[in-house]
Amino acid sequence: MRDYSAESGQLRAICKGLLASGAVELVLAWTSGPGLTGREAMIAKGADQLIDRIVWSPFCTSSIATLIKRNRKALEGKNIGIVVKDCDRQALNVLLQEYVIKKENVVIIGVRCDGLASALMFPDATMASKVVSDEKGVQVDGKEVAWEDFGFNACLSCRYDSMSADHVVGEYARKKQVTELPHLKRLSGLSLSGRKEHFDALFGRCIRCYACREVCPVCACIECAIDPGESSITPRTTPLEKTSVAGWACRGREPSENAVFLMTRAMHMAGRCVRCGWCERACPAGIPLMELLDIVNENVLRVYKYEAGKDPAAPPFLASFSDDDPDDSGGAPH
Amino acid sequence: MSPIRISVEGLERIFGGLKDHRVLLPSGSGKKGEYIELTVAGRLPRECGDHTKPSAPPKNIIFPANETLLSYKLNIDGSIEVAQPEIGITKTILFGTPPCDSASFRVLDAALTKDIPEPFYTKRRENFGVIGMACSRAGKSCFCRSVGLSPVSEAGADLMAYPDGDDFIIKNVSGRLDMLWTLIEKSGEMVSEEAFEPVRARFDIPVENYKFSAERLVDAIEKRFTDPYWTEFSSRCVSCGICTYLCPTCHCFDILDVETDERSGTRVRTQDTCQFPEFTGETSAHNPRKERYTRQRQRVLHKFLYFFRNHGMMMCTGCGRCIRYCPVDINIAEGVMKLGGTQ
Amino acid sequence: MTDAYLPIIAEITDTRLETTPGDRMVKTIRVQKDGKAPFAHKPGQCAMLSFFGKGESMISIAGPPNGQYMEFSILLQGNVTSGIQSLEKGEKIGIRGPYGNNFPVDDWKGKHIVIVGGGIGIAPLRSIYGHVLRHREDYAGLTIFYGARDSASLVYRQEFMDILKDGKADVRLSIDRAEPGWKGFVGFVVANLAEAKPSSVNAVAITCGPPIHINLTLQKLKLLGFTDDQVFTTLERKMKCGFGKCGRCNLGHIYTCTKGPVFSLTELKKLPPEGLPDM
Repeated sequence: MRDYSAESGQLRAICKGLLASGAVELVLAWTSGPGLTGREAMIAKGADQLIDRIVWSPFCTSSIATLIKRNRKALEGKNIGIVVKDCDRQALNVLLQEYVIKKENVVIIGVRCDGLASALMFPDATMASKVVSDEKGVQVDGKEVAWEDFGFNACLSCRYDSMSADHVVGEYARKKQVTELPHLKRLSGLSLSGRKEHFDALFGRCIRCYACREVCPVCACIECAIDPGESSITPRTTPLEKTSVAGWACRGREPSENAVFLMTRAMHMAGRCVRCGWCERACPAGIPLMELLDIVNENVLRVYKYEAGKDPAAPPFLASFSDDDPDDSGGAPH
Repeated sequence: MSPIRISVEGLERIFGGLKDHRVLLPSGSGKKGEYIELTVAGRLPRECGDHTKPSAPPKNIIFPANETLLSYKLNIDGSIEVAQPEIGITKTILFGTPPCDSASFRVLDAALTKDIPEPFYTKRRENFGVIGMACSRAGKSCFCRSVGLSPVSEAGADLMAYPDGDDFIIKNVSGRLDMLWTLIEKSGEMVSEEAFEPVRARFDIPVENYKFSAERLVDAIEKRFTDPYWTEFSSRCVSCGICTYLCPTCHCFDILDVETDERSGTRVRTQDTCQFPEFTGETSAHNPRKERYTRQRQRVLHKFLYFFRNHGMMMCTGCGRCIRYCPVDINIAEGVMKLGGTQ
Repeated sequence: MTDAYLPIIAEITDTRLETTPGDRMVKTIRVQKDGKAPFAHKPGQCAMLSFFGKGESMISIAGPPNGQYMEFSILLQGNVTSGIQSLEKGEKIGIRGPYGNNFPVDDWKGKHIVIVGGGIGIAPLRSIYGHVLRHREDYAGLTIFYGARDSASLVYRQEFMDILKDGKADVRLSIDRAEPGWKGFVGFVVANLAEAKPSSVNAVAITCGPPIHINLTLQKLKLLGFTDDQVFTTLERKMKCGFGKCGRCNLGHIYTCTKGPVFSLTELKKLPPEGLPDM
C-alpha cells in the first residue's frame, strides 16, 4: 500500500533541503490545490507556504517538465530542482538531448509512478483526504477505484519500471506488463478505408485549441512549424518576412486542416514522445491522441529500435541515422 | 397562460409530427457528448443536469465554428465577383438544456444581434427555439446561482420543461414557440399554480460551490485592473483557449481568406479565442496583450465586468466547463471571488 | 438582409508613391465606385479594404468627405498591405464601411486646430486638416506639425508645400536627422512642438503616430497647458469585423471599431490601461 502523505512528506524534505542549501534557486513541483489535483508551481527559497504544500499522488496529472518550456526566460541559467514522474523523467532527457536545459543546472527528483487518477471520480474528496494506492487501484478516504476505471490509456500501457534520478521517492506497487497496445491492435484490425473513416471522424472534432501542443513537455519549439501564430513577428520583422511566414495548417477549422496539424505534430514527435498522455487528457473534444502518437512511437521503437528519452547523450532520432536503418518503415501499426 | 402537463410520449409524438423542424437534444455527457436529432436518439431525455452536459456548448448549433461568409472570383478582365452563400436555415428546436446553457442564448442575442447584427447568427436565431429543462443535479464546478441564474432559471428559454415522473410540465416563457405551444396545449392538460409549485420546488436546489454574487463584486473587480493577482491567477495558463471554446457564451471570431487557387477562394468566419496572443497582435508587432496574464484578465473582465456594463447581465452563466476542462486547473470562480474580496 | 461582411467592389482610380520603395513604403490610393466615393463618411472614420486571397485591413480614410473619392495611404506591413500596394490604377479593390466614430470637427468650430503627426500617423489627421482648410473661416487657426525619419519618408510633401504657399495654415515639417538640402526643423516632432510653443488657449490638439511619438507628444501638450478634453488621438487596434461583434478590439467595455478609434484624453483615461499611450 503506497501512502502518498508519507511520500509527499519525503518529497517536501528533499525540496526544502535543496532550497535551504542553495543547491537550487527554484524547485518545480506539484502543490496541493483546493481539490485533489496537484497544481504545478515554481517555488523559491522562502516561499514557505508553497513549500509546505508540495505534494505527490496519482492526482498530480500534469507534467512538471512542461514548466521548463513555458518559463524559458525565467529559468535561464538558474539551478533548478524538478520533481518528475517516470514519463516526465524521460521528457527531461529529450529536453537535455535538444539543449533546452543543461544537466549541470538541474537536480532531478524522481517519483516512481504507478499511474494517474482522475479527481472527478472522488467528488467529495478534499486536499486533506487520505490517498493511498496499490496494485489494484487508488483509494481516497476508503473509496476505491481500479486503475482501469480512470480511463487513462497512456498510464495503463506505461512501460516505465525503473527510475534513475539524483533523488528518488516511492516504490512501484503496480507491475507494468504491456506487450501490445490495445488501441493499436484495434486499428490494425481495420481496413484502410475503415481507418480513414475512423480518423476523419476524429479530425472533425478538433477545435484547434492547441492544448495538446501546449501541455506536451517536449513540444518545446519556440516557433511552431505548423502554426507559428505571431511568435515570429517582432518590430524588426520586415514586410517581406511577414508575407513569407509559413502556416502549414490554415486557421479555419476544416477537418483537412485539423488533419494537417494533428498528423504533422505526431510526426514531429517521432523519437521524442514519452507517452505521458497529457495531450489526450487535456483534449476538450475527447480525441484519443495517443492513437496517432503511438502509431509513430511503435514504429520508431520496433523498426528503428529507438526509445524516446532513454539516453540523454544519444543523438535525437530525427537528426541521426544508422547504416543499418531499414529501407522500409514497416507500414501499418503493429 | 397556465403550465401544461404532457406525457413524455405525448411530447415525442408532437415532435415527430413537426414537418419542417428538427429537434436536437444533448446526448452523452462530457467529452463524448454531442447534440443529436431526436429521430436518431429515439427518446427525449427525462432529466438534465451537470451530469448530462456535453463538453461542447450548444452555441455551435447556430454559430458554427466555421462559416463561409462569401466567395470571390478574380476574373482575367480585372473584374471581381463576390457572392454571399445562402444561409441554410433549418428550423431547429433544442430540447433539454440546463438553465446555464439556455441562458447562453440570451447572452449571445445581446452580443450579436444589436446595432449592426451579425447576419448569420441573427438569421439562424430567428429559426431557432430553446426548450430548457430544470436542472436536477449541480456538479462540482457549477456556480449558476452566483451569476444571477439558478437550476430553475427560465432565462433564454422559449419553453421550459419540468420533469415529473413520466410527464413534463411545460411553461411558455417567451412566446417565440407559440405554434408548438398550441399543439402542447391541445395535447396536454392545464396545471394549476398550486399543483405546479411543488414540482418546480424540487428543482430549486442549492448550488454550494463558489458562493458569491457577481453583480455585487463588479465595482470591486473594476478597481483591481492592475492588481498583481492577475499574474498569480494565470501562472499555469498555457493559452490553449479551451476555456473560451467550451464556454457557452464566448463568441469571438476571426475572419480569414482561404485561397482555392490564384483566382478564387472564400472568406470564412472561424471561431477564435482571446487567449491566443495573435488575437490582438497587429502586423506592426504592437500587441496590447502580449503578456499571458493580460489575456486571462480580458477573459474574466469581459465576462464579469464589461458585458455587465454594456448589457446589464453577466456574460458568464456558471456552467463550470472552463473550470472542469482547463488542463492546468485554473478556476475563474476562485479568481473572481479573490478579486472581489469575498475570499 | 444587408450583409455586413460583403464588400463593395470599387476601382482604384489613382495611385501615388509617397515615399521611396522599400520596407517602409507608403502608397496613397484613390478609390471610387462608378466615379463617386463608395459611401459617405465623416473625418476620422475608417474602412475595411479587401485584398481577396490575403484578407482585409482596417485603414483610416485619409481625407475629409468630398463625395467624389476616398483616399487611403497604405504603409507596407504584411500580406494585405503588400497586396493592396501591388494594385495599379484601373484595378479593383473591395471596400466596406464607414466604421468607427469621428473627429468632432463641428464642436471644434471657432478654435485653433493643432495637428501633431508622426510618420504614417498623419494619414487619419489629413481628414481633419482637409476639412478645416475647406471651411477655414469656421476655425480660428490651423497649425500642422509633421515629421518623419528622413525627408524621403515624409508623405503628402507636395500638398504641404501648396498649403504653406496658400497661407491658410502654419505648416511645420521636421525630420529626425539632418540631411543635405533640408532647410526645415531637424529633430523629433515633439521637439519642434516644444520650440514653437503653440498656445493652448481656445485650441484643440490632435495627435497620431507611432507609440513613442504619441507618448512624448501627450507629455509635451500637457506642459504646454492643454487640458485632457483639449487633446484627441486615434488609436490603432487589430480589427476584423469592424462592427463590434468579433470581440477583439475592445478597450474595457468599449469596442474601438464602434465607439473609437477617436478618443479624447478625458475618455481615454477612463478606460483600462491596455496598450494605451502613457498619459
